[in-house]
Amino acid sequence: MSDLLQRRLAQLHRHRRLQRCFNGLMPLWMITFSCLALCLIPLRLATPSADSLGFTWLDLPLFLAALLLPLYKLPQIWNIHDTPSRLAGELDLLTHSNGLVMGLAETHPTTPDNNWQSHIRVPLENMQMPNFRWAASLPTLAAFACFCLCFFIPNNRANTPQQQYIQTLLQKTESQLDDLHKEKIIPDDWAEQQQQKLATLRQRAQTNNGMDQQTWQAFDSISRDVRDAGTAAAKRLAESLAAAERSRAQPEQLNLALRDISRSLAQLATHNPGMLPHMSSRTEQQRLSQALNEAMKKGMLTQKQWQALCKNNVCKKNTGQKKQACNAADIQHISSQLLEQLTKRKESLKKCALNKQCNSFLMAMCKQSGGVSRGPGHAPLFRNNKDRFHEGDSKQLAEGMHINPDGSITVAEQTRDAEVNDAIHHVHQRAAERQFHATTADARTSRTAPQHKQAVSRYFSESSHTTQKQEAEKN
Amino acid sequence: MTTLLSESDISHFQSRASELLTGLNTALLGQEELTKLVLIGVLSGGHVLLEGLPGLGKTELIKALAALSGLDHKRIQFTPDLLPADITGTQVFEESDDHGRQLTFRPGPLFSQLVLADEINRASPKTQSALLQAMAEKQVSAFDQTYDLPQPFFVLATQNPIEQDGTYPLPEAQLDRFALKLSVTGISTDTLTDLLRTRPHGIATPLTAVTNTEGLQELMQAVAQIALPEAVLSYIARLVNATRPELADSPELIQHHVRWGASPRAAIALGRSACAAALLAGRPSVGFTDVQQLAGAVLGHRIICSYEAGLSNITSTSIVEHLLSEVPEVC
Repeated sequence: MSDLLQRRLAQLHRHRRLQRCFNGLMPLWMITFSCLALCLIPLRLATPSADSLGFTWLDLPLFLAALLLPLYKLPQIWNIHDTPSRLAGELDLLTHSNGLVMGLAETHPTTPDNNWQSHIRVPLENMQMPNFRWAASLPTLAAFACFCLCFFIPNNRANTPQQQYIQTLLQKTESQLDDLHKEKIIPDDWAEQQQQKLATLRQRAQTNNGMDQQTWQAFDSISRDVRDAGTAAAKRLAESLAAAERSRAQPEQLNLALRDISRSLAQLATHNPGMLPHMSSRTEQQRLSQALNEAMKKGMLTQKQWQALCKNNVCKKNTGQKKQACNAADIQHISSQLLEQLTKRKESLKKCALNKQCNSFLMAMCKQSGGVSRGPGHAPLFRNNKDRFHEGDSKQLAEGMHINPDGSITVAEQTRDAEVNDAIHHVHQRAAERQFHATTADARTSRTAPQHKQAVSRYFSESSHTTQKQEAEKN
Repeated sequence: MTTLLSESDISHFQSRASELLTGLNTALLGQEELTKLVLIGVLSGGHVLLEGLPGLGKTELIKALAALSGLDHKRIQFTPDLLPADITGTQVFEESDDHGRQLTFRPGPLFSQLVLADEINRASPKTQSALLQAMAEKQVSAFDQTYDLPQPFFVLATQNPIEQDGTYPLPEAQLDRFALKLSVTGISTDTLTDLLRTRPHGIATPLTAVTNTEGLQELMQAVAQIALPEAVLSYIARLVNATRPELADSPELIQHHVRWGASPRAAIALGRSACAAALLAGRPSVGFTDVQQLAGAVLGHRIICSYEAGLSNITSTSIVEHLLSEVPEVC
């Protein structure tokens, strides 16, 4: 056996060993990848809060385990040796020597080959090793791809949509609160208090695996308070506008005008100081202050309301100076100024409302976007009612709206029949049909259907009429 | 470790075998493959059974082989009334010159180097069985005596696949003793035209011997020196064992359609025949293709198919072809 033949045999041995290792490991990798992918899928999809349970660290160990686990078989496969006869047979087939290589391989190394090597059809020098067969890797690659894809499956988080929903709700309420606070529609201390409550709620919602009943109730309460604060501010502003409008329209009714203006401004000063009007000039401010002093003297304001007004610099207490009483012109002037300033406040409130589109007070402030609802089954009173937003202008009140003696505005009066569900109609109809159906005919209980009563009576009347006619003819 | 024959030795033996082959091809036109297989059978020391329709030249081929090889040969026409003693020999009462009388064994026609058993399936089983010992052990036992047959000893038999009335199919034991069973088929139109032109009366040109007993034995010894590599031995063993349905790892086709598979004698015959084939091809060692070329002739008559195979039109030949495609050369 020549050196060249020995080298070729050794080369073939190495090639076959590598191929054997490849063919042996690939199915193992495929099985490992598949099994771990099957483990990973339920872990990702079906295990809630896998993150919080500490399963995130499993990714890397799983990946490494899938890669390294089949390698335990490698030494076993590596240690498999091809027999020399097998290698010789393989080489014989590769060289198409038809037994010559096998015969040469089995001769003693020192034995001359009698020039037989030159008879080999494919010379050993030019012989090429068989191609490495990669086909065994295809299923493994597919399994590996599936395994890698499993890592991209997001971890199932408990109630993820609910968490997002809760966060959205909290964010919306916080945003409403911020807007109202920024526009000074609500007092600072109250706004800060609500903000603290919301922050506590957010923390509780995140740490307590969602929202429990108490948290929900607290959130409802806070959001309702915020909503009510906005609605109340809008209402007070509307009342102030209505009062100013009414005073401007009827300045001759001094007491009524003073009462309306002072009370509406006192309400704003007490609850929504940010919405108090700032008069355009010092003269106007003094005129308003004088009017409010007069209203205080006449007992139209309580002490508390007066203090609130003074605290917000809307008025100043007269100190010894005797001023002339307000007349109709003053009231008209003050009313016009108030209308102008309050309209600005109204615009700011409306802008605040437009940022968030789904609260009742926002609905109330937005044109053509619905209004107060009395509950299910009742049509919104102000839907598509454009005049609803000019409630301060009593002349533009829609038909049916009027100002009450106590200053409130009746927006609408509605009378309607009791609600009857369509389903009830159907039930009645079916019952009637069954009652007069031919299959339920019974002489004792059957009645003539109302729609047939006239026909029946006409029949009997015609027959009696005909009988009389016949008797008359006979006679 | 084996030693390969030298290139000159191989060429020498190949040329001598080629002379025989050329002579056979001259005697039997257009049957090159058949003559080669017959010669392989002879060189490997095996017995050959030729099966074919009448008039295809079976007998002519064997007669030509006998003439070319220079071997002592006898022809036995097997008939239903042929008795074992007719072929093995019998004791006769002889009177010697010194007026002594004794029973003397007179050898039958079996005592020749090349026995032509014509229409072997027409003899009764009793007579056929008389061949068993001779073919396997190259000895004949008669009248408490065992007689060695002359060396080399070949039985070249013929049988007719049709006209089965009054014939006795060869038992499996008998079939197993034939190293090769060859089917003789018809020849092409051109060859037939040539045959008509050269032999209008059907009489072949007399052949002269190209070798003798010693020469043939040298050739047989050369066949024995052809290397049979381990991988080929393993291939032959796996191939033969694959024909056995009782083995669990045999192919499904074998398990369903074969009753009895080939014997170890078949494996030996296949190996020796492959060596002869390698010598004829001028190679010092046997290759896988040698085995594959001879598998049908060596294993075909040793595989006994089940009735399911008959129903499915599966023959032993197709089974061997299936095995060749199923069993890998290297394992």
